[in-house]
Amino acid sequence: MAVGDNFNPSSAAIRLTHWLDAAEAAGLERFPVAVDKLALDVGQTLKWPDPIVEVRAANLPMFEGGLFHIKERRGWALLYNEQLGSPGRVRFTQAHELGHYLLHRQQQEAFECSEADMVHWGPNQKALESQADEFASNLLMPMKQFRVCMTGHAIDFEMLSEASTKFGVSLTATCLRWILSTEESAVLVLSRDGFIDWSVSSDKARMNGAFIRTRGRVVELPMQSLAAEKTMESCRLGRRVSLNTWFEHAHPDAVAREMKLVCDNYGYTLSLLHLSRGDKVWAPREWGV
Amino acid sequence: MATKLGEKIRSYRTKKGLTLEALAHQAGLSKSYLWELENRESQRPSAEKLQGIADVLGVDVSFFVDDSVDNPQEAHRDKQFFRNFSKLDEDSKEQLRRILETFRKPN
Repeated sequence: MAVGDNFNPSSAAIRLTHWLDAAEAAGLERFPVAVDKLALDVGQTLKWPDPIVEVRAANLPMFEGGLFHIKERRGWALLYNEQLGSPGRVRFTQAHELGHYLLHRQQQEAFECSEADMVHWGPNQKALESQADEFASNLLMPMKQFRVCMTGHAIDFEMLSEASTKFGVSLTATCLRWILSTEESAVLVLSRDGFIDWSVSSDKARMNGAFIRTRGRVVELPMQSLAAEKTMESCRLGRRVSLNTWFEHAHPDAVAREMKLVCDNYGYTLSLLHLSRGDKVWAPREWGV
Repeated sequence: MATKLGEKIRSYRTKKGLTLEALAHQAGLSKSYLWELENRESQRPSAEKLQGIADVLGVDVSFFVDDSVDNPQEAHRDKQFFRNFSKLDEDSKEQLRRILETFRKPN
């Protein structure tokens, strides 16, 4: 490995972003990022001894993507399933595998040596997966350009949809990018069949106690929320709801804007709650025994 | 993270046009239990509960029995990174190996 190429998810993405910005200045299309071409170039550009030599679709059931060492070619094959979901999801998968190449290809020894024990292998694998996702998100939606898309007026699903089209990624990936980078107080919720599958809060919302724990729990959507309203298809710009609909300890007068988007083809609903930055919803402390 | 079983139940349920609520009700299960079965790596349900679900959906309970045994050894045969490796059936693994085989010769 060349000296100085000890990447983390953010530094790897920033390096590639600089190249792509420079290429744009030379007149090349900037977005969506052409991950397949980039993957074939990146090893050569970094002068690594084991470049990616193949980027191909492999449309196998239940296979999403993978990175494979091809000993005979002294390089790697990046495979992805192009029939699994939208073009945006495919692009994200490609970028995710590219992330594994840049960040983890030295670590395959760890897999080789581990005692073929999935349980033992699991947590480590999870960390690697989330690093690869972080890289993909940074590469496909660089913060500089992402911020430009997101300024101007209050957040809503219209804006987020436009950005997801520009960057060629799924709406969910765009929403996550926003929620994890915004200074606003907001909560993103993905629900299926009336229950919350997962939820992510912005830093500000978390500091104010606005988060929903779903790990190891089954959480039904709040009765009075737009999300739970079966007759309502979508509400992209949002509507005011009483904040204590979602967070029981909120001040009874506090309101939030709740946006809703029903994603029928995937069978889930996305909700975005935009809170006032000053609204805290912590449960009151219980003193005594 | 949904399991194979969960995905199967959901796909038969939606094919039949049943809501989660309706299936839970007809199979005598709570909504939240069925949701957990469809969406989480939860406990393995009893044969009786599965039979109840199969009866409502009009499918044979054997559809819900996962007969593919995951072999973690396989994961280490090649140097590779995998997502959802455990979900891949033998057939796909074999196809994948064949695809990789074609790359081994320099172009």
